[in-house]
Amino acid sequence: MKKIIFIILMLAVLPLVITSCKKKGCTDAMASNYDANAKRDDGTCTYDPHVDPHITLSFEHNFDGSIVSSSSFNQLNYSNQAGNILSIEHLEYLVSNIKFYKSNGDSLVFSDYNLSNLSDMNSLSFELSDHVEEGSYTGIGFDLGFNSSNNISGSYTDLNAVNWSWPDMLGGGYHNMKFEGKFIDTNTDTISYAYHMGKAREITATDTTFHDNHAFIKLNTSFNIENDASISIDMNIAEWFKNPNTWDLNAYNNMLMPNYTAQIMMKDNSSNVFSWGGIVQ
Amino acid sequence: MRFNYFIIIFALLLTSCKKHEGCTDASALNYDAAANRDDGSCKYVGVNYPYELDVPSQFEQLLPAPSIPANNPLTEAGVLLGRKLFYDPILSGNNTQSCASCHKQANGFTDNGYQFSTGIDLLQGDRNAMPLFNMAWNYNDTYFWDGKASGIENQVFEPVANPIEMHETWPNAVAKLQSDDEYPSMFNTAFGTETIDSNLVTMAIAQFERTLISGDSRFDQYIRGEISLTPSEFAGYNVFMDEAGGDCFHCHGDINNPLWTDNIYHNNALDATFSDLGRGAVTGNAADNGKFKTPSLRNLSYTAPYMHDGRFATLDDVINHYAVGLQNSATVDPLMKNVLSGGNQLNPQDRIDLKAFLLSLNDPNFVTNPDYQAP
Repeated sequence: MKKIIFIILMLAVLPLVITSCKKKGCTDAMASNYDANAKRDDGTCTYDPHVDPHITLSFEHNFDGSIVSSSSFNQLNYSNQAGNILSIEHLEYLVSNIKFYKSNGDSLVFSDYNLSNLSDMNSLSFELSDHVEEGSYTGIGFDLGFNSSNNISGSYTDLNAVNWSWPDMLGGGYHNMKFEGKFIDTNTDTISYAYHMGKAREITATDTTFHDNHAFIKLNTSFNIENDASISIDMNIAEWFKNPNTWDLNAYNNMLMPNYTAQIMMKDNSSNVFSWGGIVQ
Repeated sequence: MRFNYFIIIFALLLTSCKKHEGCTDASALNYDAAANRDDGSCKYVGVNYPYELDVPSQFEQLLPAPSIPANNPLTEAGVLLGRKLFYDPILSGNNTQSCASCHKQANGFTDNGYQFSTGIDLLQGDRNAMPLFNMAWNYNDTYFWDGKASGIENQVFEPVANPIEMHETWPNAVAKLQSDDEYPSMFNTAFGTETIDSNLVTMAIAQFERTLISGDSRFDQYIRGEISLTPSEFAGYNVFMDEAGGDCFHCHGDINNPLWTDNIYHNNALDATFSDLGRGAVTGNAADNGKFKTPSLRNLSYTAPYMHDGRFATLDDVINHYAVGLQNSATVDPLMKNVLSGGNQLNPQDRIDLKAFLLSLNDPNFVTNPDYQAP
């Protein structure tokens, strides 16, 4: 009797022993449910949908190579091309319409915009809301400010709330940049400057016209996107005073928003302000 | 003829079928005897309901959504409780002063034209009582002239315990509320507990304060397309917006920022040396010395005197300060560009127009709104 029970038990357990030796499961290491213990594939492998990399853009600032942050504000420790000794107290600028250029001539365009404020560390980097496909690229581009189709008065609530609007009497829309500080003038007085950039109002004897004055920035450099990556972009603040127009703060310091000549000079000087800072992925 | 009868009968049928929607439960607070179809709006004693902020349409269009802390959502019972607490002298040491003693609705929730407010022990401070409105749109969420409190809830802790203001201890204040006939059940409805603590008191008052919305000035009506500005108001807005004129907008907003403040801190050239360090005393950063919060330009006719220390009795004094009275100092804001020559030198006509524009930001309905009065 005992033998019979033993045999029945053995027969019952044997299949379990056999299957445990040949564990079934997903055997593809690339699958999301890969089972390292599985010996035999059972067709259950599932795969995550492919996710393109997330890209973060971060902005870094220097004055001819000397790092600038809010901790270096309020000190007269910079000298520009014209020889003006100056401080920085406020630097805030809008970047929009970001583009990634592909080797085949196509480009990816992102609708994001970002207001970088050196007094707020968190504002200096932002993640693109859309992913960037893997591959090789030949450069990136962006608008400083909004281009004319995006520069619509009142349409960005977050920017309205921080007084980023450009006055309607000057053509409306939004500031490109607010850059303020103090400098030592020819009388050795310390006075302020407010280098605010936006639409340029031109008044002639017969007409008033408003010129779109955003700067399109293109940084040519070859890079590959393989994974989530952080791209840094450098602003050399000294360039705002340098090339092609040597900017003497004694001549141009305040009330520059309605000053057509100053606005056009700002746009001209924007061409070498930004440079590629590198990619980490 | 037969056709006319048909029309009349059809019209009668239509009107008789018309449903009057409302609360049909006779035991509800808002029972509507005329309603013949329940619309789910019935409200009952002891139950709490979400409070819907009455957001002006131009705020909805131009500004980000109001900033309400996730851990203190607005509720009807919470707002009502906060309103009662705001007006109740029980929170002061000798039961003589409430929040409203120094923040009077008729004065845009400032203190009756006084430069400094007087506390229960007849002591005075050195800062002017701030107006209270549109606080749900203060995205930085810092309060006081120097921004020392983060969040209205934290702000409320201060005046109750301040020896020169309401001079009460929080344990005493809470004990008085706990032994009151009405408060425990009101806290229970608002927060689900009859056990009162100071956090809940500040949360209720903060809820009430977030409902104080000023958005119906003449300029608001102009933004909404309801009225035109007078020529002088319009000319004054252009003085305000002209960088080569008043240049007020960089701190005080514009037609697209109807808060009329940036809610941050500036040294607006009041003094060459500082008896009150302002923001600098809070941050410990010398670059912040002499900086104070930009106040909103709404309701100026009700909120005199002006500046953090109430030094200017009239709007003309304020305009004169920016025209010819600027004082230089190391931290003066770069936007005070004419500090060495005294100011923007506005001519008499520009000053008249600028003032006319500023007065168009008065909101008479705000200072009389019954929802903000003592319950």
